[in-house]
This record gives sequence, structure tokens and C-alpha cells, in this order.
Amino acid sequence: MSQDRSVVARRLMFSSAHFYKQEKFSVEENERTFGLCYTPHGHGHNYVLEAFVEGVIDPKTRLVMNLSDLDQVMKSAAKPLEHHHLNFDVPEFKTLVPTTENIALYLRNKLIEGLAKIDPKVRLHRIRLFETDDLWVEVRA
Amino acid sequence: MSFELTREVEIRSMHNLNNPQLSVEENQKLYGPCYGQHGHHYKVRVTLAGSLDVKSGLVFDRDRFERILDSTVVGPLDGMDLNEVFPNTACEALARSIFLRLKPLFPDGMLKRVGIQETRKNYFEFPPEAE
Repeated sequence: MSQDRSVVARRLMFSSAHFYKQEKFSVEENERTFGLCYTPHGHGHNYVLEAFVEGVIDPKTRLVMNLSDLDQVMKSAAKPLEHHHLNFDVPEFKTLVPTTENIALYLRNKLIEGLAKIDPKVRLHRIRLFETDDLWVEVRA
Repeated sequence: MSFELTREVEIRSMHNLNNPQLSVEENQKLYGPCYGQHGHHYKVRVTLAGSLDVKSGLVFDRDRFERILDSTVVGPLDGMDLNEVFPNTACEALARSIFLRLKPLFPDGMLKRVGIQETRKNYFEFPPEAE
């Protein structure tokens, strides 16, 4: 492992509404699979996204990456979700159930895209998405 | 792609550290203040790892996860004397004991880790992650 590489992490909060519903399931299957999360109108969460980015500690800037750049990438990734109803407003979640796992996957893909544009020297290492303080998903990039 | 899903539960339980094969003086010397009966507000973090079910988009059923933790961790341990339940209540051993109790309740290989925040300063996890 190179001693020049390190990891930086940044946190972003956003709020969204959603419900869990698989169109291919019957009402009973949806109730059985999703329990309380299967509601007719939806409910909301204050999501917390943590992005971990890996890269070389640049000899000139002495940073892995500029944190305000990382902020920008994270905000752009979450923008379509921020204060939206995921099932109705986000095309990806018309067919995909907006579970914490699927939202994490969505954000992972957007972050990889965004980082490649803004700073090709770094790569996403992993993300963590908290639905609540006591429930979260982690995906390695 | 593998996802990790973690749920945290809290237990407020008492314990002390002692080795019954040692004398009181030896226990006091070895464990210091931890030899006295005391309690913690433990945060127990249980992590599952798996791929997503294509239709539901879930690693594991949320309600089932909660029920398993309620019946295996919170119910039997919250508000209890842990020394009456486990032979070794040092947190590193506690994490292992809870892991071993939970393991058969999930699909094969799905339980990845049990982490315990004993205090703000002390954290333990089992098993150690492979490099």
C-alpha cells in the first residue's frame, strides 16, 4: 500500500419522501415484504450521506482533494433527491424501489461520475447512507 | 455488488469483570474499578452483508431484522446482569458471544460483524475484518 494515498470523508444531509412499493407485487406481497414502509402516500427521512474518497496526497496542495469540490459533487448527486418525493419525482425510482440500498447505489453511481469530472486523480472508496441514526447502508465503490 | 446493512440497538445492562479462578485481591489488582458491579448504555451495531434482492431492493427484511435483534439482543440483555448470561462479559468477548448467537438466525454467511460501543471511548468488534 502506497504511503502517499489516504482517504477523506465528507458528510451531507438531505431530506426526501418515499414509500416502498414494488409494482409487480400484490398488495399482500407489498405489505409482507415492506411492512410499515409500504404506505399509500409516503413518509420522510433526514438522510445522511457520507462519502469516503481515496487518492494521493498531492505534494503541492498537500490534500487528497479540495473539500469544497467534494461538497459540490455530493450536493449535485443528491440534488435530484433533496426535498423531493423519490417515487414520483426521480425517474430511476419509478421502477426501482427507493430502499436505502437502492438510494445508496444511485448516489454511488452519481458520485463516481461527478468525481471523475471534477478530479480524475481521486476515486470513491465507499459511501454510507443513514436512513436514521440506527439504520444505515454501506457500499464499497 | 455487496451491500452492508447495519442496525443499531441499545441495551442498558450491568456487568463486572472478574475471573472466578482468581482471588478477590488478584481480581482487584487485574481489573481495577471494572471488578466492581457497574453498568453501561451499550450501543450494539449488527451488520449484514449481501447482494440486493432484485425485486424488493433490500439486503434483508427490515421488520425481520428488528424482530431478531429484539428477541436475541434487546429482550434477553437490556436491563440485565450480563454476568448471569455470559461467562465472559469483557466487551470483546460480548461482541463474539452476541455474534455467535445471531449467526444461525440469518441466511448463511450474511451476518458480517457485531460492533459494540461500550462508552464514548471504547469500541469493540467481532470478527476482525480480513485484510
